[in-house]
Amino acid sequence: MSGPTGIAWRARTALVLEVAGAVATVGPLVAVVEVCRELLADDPDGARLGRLVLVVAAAAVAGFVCQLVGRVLSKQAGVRTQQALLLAVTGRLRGARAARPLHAAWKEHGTTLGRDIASVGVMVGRAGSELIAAALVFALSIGYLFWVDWLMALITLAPILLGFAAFGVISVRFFREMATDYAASIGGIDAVRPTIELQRRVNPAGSRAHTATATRRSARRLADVTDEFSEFFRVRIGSLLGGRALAEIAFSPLTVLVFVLCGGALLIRSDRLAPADLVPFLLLGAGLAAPLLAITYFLEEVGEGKKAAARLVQFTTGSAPSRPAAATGATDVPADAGTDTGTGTDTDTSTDADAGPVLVLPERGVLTVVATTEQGADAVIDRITADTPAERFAAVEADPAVVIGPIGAYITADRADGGAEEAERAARLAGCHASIAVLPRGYDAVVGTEAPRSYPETQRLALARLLAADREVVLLDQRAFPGDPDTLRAAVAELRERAAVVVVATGPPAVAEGRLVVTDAGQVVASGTHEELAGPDSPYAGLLGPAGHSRRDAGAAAWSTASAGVPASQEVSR
Amino acid sequence: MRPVLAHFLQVSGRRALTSLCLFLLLGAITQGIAFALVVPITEDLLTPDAAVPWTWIAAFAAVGLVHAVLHYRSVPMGNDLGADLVTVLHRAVAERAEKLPNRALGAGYSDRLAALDGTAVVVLMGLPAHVLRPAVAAVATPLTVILISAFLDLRVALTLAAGLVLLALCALLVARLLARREEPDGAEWLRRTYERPGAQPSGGLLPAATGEVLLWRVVELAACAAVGVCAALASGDGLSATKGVALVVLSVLTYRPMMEAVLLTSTIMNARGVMATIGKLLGTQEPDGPRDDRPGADWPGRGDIVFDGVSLHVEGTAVLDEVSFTIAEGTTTALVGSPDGTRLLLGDLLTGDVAPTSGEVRVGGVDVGTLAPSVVERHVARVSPAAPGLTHEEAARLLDSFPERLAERPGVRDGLDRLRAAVAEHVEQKQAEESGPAGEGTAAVPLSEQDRWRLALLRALRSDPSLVVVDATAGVDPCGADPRLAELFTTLTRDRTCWLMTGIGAELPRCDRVLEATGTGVTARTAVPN
Repeated sequence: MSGPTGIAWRARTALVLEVAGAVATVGPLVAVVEVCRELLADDPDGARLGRLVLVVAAAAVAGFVCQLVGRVLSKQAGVRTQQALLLAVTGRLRGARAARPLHAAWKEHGTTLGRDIASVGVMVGRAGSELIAAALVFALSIGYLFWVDWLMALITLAPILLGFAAFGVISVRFFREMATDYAASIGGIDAVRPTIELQRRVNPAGSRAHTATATRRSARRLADVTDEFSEFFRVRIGSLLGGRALAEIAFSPLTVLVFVLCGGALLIRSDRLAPADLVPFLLLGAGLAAPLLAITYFLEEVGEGKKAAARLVQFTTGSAPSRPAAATGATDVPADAGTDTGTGTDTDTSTDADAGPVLVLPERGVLTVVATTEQGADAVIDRITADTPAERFAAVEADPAVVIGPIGAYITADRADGGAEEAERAARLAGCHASIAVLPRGYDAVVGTEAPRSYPETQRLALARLLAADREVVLLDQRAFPGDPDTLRAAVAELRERAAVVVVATGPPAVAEGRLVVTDAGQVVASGTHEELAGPDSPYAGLLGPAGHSRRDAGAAAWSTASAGVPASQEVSR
Repeated sequence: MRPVLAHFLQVSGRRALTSLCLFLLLGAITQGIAFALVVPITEDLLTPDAAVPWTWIAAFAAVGLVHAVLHYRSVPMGNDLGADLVTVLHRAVAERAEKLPNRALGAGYSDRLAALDGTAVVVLMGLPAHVLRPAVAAVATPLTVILISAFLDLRVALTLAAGLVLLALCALLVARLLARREEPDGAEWLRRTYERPGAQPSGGLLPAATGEVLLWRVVELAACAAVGVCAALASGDGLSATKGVALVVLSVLTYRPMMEAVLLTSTIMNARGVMATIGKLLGTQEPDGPRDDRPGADWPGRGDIVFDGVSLHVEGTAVLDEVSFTIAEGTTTALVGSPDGTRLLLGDLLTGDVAPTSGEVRVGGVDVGTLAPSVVERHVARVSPAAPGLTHEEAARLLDSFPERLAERPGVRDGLDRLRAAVAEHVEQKQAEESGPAGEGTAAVPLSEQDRWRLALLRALRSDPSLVVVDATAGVDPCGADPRLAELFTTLTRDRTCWLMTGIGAELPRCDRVLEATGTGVTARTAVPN
């Protein structure tokens, strides 16, 4: 993960300083104990008392400085971590390789990504430090008490252990009787949160009403499920509150003091404990439980942070789709499928012997894959995406492209030497220059409210990016260009001499020259030329139904910018 | 936090909170009394050959028992209050979302709503039970101890009181320091992943770090001062050594509740974050309280749609410039031209989903921005095959609820029948999957694009809207692909105001007027003969 550096040394230094701070927290109490011992001595040394009090004050100041520097460093580490995560997420969003896995990942993680970045920042910048500090304070305190007198230390710990036992009992009851219901109830709250699709965030034109409607519906459902959870909390969890209250009472300073005073009295009178040795237990014992309770809160925060980090890693690294099961070993294309279409040597992209042969792509030229179903087309696309190295591959899929930032920069994002001229050249080839040129800021316009785009316009921008990039394998999903076969054909004509072009269609293919491969449910069922496949009773012929013919009705006026014959007198720009 | 809590108290009343605070206050006072009892007990235990002060210890245990009973009783009260807090605030958020216009319910609002998940609910529920108790104890227990210690030794009591005053001032300072740096919330981080970064957090890291560590160390210094005074008194002639040590112990115990409260800073910060999110959703964060952004105008009886000098500027760039035109009531207008996005934006302006920078969009003389959200929902139908929710399940619901009186209109019966066939096929497929061998199921096939059009058109027809906005920019031309859809479209738009945005290569159905959007402007192009 590139981006801000200096996170590790800051985190490590902060850790060391937190340790010093924890020592400086327990140290003053030990010094106070020494003050008490000096007072109880036969002839208290005033000068030593003064020095000890100064030590207490100095330790407090030193602890403050150590912890302050440590916290600043850990916060810096937190901020830098957040920036690094932001860069990683942004990088994933701006990558052009595979739109479908990106949208799927966004559906799964998108809404929580922001909060996950915040959670990781809290973990690195605050919770981690506080957890270490609280744990060390407890460990040093209890260690010191055992060093003074182990039996008295055990007596001091007894109520805390009782408290843990009470917590254990209610935990067991919780996990036996209501953990599943609790998970379902609280999971219901998570389930109703609104999720806005990625393209609707980046480019909300035309979808604002849907977003608002979904938000209102989520708010209503959130109120309802919260009511249900509250009722569950009152009735079911409420039955555990007695046990929890008892545990808290056991942890309270008064309970600990009762044990310390009673145990101390017995041990002192039986000469098992020197009177002065009671003081550390009075001073430290009453404060033992508080760090423990704090530790449980910090552990929750750290746990949330870890889960958030795992989700972020999953999102940022999941660039390629997993090889679809339906297509594994299924897209068994005859070896000549690509050679007939292509102009060069076949490139077998198979990487897994068990998966069997896969689509054999030509080194250059066009391979048209006609799938009988949408799912079948997706499976083929996923297979090719998974099997082709990212640096060689570019695609325009049916899932909306995510166009972030200025249009010109987006188009040339995959080309190191890409400038304004290259962006315009590619946009002209993709048929979107005109719609960019009319924008007040042209290629500097940012897609969104400044430059709202429709779905076909967005896909043409993605096509322009693909045309500007220098990739060896390109995939064009015909569904990305509804009603616009000419744009697809023009792109294929531009690319076929310099790349392996795979056109995937789910109906009559826009590019039917050369060899075609027909797949059904991920299985290759036929291959050949258009003429060979279009015979009666063939699966391919079934796909060339009415939709493949002219869609113009005699009764309706034809208004189009498409290439098909349109009465010139009535033609307008869409 | 304050405005959100004020809102909660306004809705739920103060009774539950008062009762809980009373219990917590009594608990904190009894704790202070018990701490004070440590002095005679310690004094006797440290005195050689003195009898064990069982009476004092019994008194201590009795006070501890009272404290325990108060604690035991207060735990359910705290949890009930926490549950009330969450339900009241979430209900308030839902009520506000109902009243806000679409333009206010964008991604930011949605993401903040999404932040109110299970974790946030648990944090908020725990606020009274986990935070209120230490907060009350941090104040009431030291005050009680100081009051009692005044009878033991006034000088020690005054030192403790001075320390408490210092701590109170420090607590105020810490609260300011912690509130000074506005950390980006999850919604802001999410926005930054696809938009420009925006303003960096105000305030540096040093104040926040100082806020986290200062109070604990000041507590130590206050206790140190009290210990110093006790030691000085005991090493001089003022106090016996045993009493001096007992007062040292008391000094440390006095500030112990404050240390416990400081340990909860992180928890308080988390609760503050959740409250801040709710505050933004409720509008309480705005400087003058919730803005008057709850339009309530009703739909005008009749009237034309007028774009009157509508301009839209985004960060200084004119996206639309002085757009003016009129759409006669009951007519179908096709909006053509390039880019598509500008036409979509005009559609958003038409329905009030985007507010113009200047100018006005009026329906029957009423500014669309003032229409109540429920009125817009009732009178405006948006038709698009890309709309969410166009599923087999939705089709089944539509078939169950479609009014029979509308079924005989041209194209409707056919549309219903085709949808019914699609739903039946879907049900059969699901049944086959359920009865088949495990693991051999296939992914559910979504509705075809034509069926999605059919469903969208019939859904709009069922709602009997006054204005229909058809977005055909995203897919294959429906009317060209299927004449039955064209018929259904004609049925829907008959006697209604219709705004149609066509797609690439689309054929226009019969319409009354064509407007062309080019760049930042709109012009009327051609009248279309019916």
